[in-house]
Amino acid sequence: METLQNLVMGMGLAITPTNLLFAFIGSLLGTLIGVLPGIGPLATISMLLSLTVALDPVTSLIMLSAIFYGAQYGGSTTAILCNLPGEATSVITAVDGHQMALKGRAGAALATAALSSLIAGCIATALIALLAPPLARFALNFNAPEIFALMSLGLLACVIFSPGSFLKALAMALLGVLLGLVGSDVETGAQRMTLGLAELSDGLSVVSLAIGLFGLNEIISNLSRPDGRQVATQSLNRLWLSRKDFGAMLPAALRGTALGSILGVLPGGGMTLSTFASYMLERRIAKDPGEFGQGAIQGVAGPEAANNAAAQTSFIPLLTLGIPASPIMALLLGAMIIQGIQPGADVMIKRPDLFWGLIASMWVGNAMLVIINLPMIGMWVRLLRVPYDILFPAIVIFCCIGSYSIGASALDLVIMAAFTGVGTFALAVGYPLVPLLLGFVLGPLAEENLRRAMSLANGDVAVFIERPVSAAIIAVMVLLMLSFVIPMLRRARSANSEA
Amino acid sequence: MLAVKNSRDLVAGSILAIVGLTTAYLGKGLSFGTLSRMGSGFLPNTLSWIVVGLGALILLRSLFVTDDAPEWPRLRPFAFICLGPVLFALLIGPLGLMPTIMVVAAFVRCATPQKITPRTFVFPAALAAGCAFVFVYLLNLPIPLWF
Repeated sequence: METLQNLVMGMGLAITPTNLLFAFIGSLLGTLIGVLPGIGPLATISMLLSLTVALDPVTSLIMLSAIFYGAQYGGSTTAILCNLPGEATSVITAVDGHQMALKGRAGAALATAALSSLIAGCIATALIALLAPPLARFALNFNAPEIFALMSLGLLACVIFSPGSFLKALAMALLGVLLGLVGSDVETGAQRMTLGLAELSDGLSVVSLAIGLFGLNEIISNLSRPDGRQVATQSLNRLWLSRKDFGAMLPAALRGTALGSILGVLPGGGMTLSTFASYMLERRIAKDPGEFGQGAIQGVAGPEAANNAAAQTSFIPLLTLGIPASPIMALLLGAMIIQGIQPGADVMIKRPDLFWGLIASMWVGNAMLVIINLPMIGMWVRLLRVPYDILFPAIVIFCCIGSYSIGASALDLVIMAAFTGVGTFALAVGYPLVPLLLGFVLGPLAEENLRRAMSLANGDVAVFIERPVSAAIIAVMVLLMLSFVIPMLRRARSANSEA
Repeated sequence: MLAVKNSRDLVAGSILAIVGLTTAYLGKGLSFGTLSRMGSGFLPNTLSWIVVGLGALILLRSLFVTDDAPEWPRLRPFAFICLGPVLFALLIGPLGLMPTIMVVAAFVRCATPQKITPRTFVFPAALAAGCAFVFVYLLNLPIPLWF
């Protein structure tokens, strides 16, 4: 009952005119950048982070979150109509969605994507409301060793789920932690790795770092590729589903929701993973698997539901433990810190308005997104015809303003440029960028908790395995490592025996 | 004799090791402390040396594992996009927002080849006007518009 009361309170906050307006702006922006392939939610949220400082914390988180889940809707539109996934999470949608569009069922495909996303968004948000409070209450007993163990788990999972070499991902995560330590040490006041620059004593700005690594870097790689953007111009038929289509869509969407809700909570890239997992599940249980790849409606409904559910449940670790499960969540954590909110299990108690307002706004936002997406689809498609050579200088300018406005510091712009270079170089030689950002955000928090844990235990490292919860977390880390190492060894052995 | 099997890891490993050595050098003066009382240099130094070690491992990998060559981006977009924010940083103080946006937008646009048309000049001006409206009038960012 308490949950219900809280939800009513949150809904009251979510439908105030200001919050409604910003949820709408966020959803609109999210759809926009989801449709445009050149720019993703990560870059957009990092650009807007500085502009939301002036807003109320609840309002600012409502808008930033809406950008994030709005992008999931927008990404599928272009995937279906143009076979051009706007986001990594809609790659799978393009497979069957675009086939449906080619067969003249674009309207049905779009409706399927929007409805599955809506169903998944609503159910997953309800899950957050139900599961987050007990989880946070449990986590309230956590002390420094548990929190440090959790942060290490988050970082390790991110490293393991990163594509490419494990060593390189690990190196990037540790480098991220090192970068996070730049600035004056909270405990001793010592200036660390600041090169003697007074502006650096507050540390590197997360906004400059993220925009450089993800926003500007993306532009460079887009411009380095030969232009392959073309918009299919098919006329849209009616945007609704027949009863038969609906019957095929609903179970797939529900299965996708279940899968996505579980995978979304996992640290690391649960969202993209969930779309692939859902697609494989749908193909396996289908009566006619041959239909997949030829425009199967389940192949759109399942993954779309899965990615949206995962997008919502990835908020759970952030809201209950203060641990970001994905780079976007790392930025939202950054937004909370900028707003002066210390993320952690007690957010729900200290700032119930923030927690419940955000959750209630997710329902509002998801409903808005269906309205934004379906009737206005023509406008979004027309937007794709905006040439990239107009778009990219504008994005660069927005990035500059976003980075500069945080502290009116020219140094922040130079840091942003430097991380653009770092990002480009890192990608060229195969270093993933996401672990760097996660390490950067978690680094200072992890150090603080490690210090506290060690001073409480008098420097005895055994404290991590003596306390049951942190021991359990460490066991999960070991299992994670083993599940990663064993298949690798097996592969190496079979490669040897073949040779 | 050992031969380098992939240049990607050769570059990746050596740069990583150099970065680690640099951070180790920068953190050299910080006090290390003990496990129970960690100094400000504990984590920076430990992590730096681990990073150096990882760099060495990746370097070693380049001798044994074949991999693709590095995929460098095209130089022209790279240079213009990276230098855009630096130019913005140099101009924003003396010139103010509107002129800075016009210059930087025109500069960044050179990242790809273009024909000189009226649009070349109209677009930066329109962008500057739009940004001034949204960021300064609507969002009240405290950035001077003109010098």
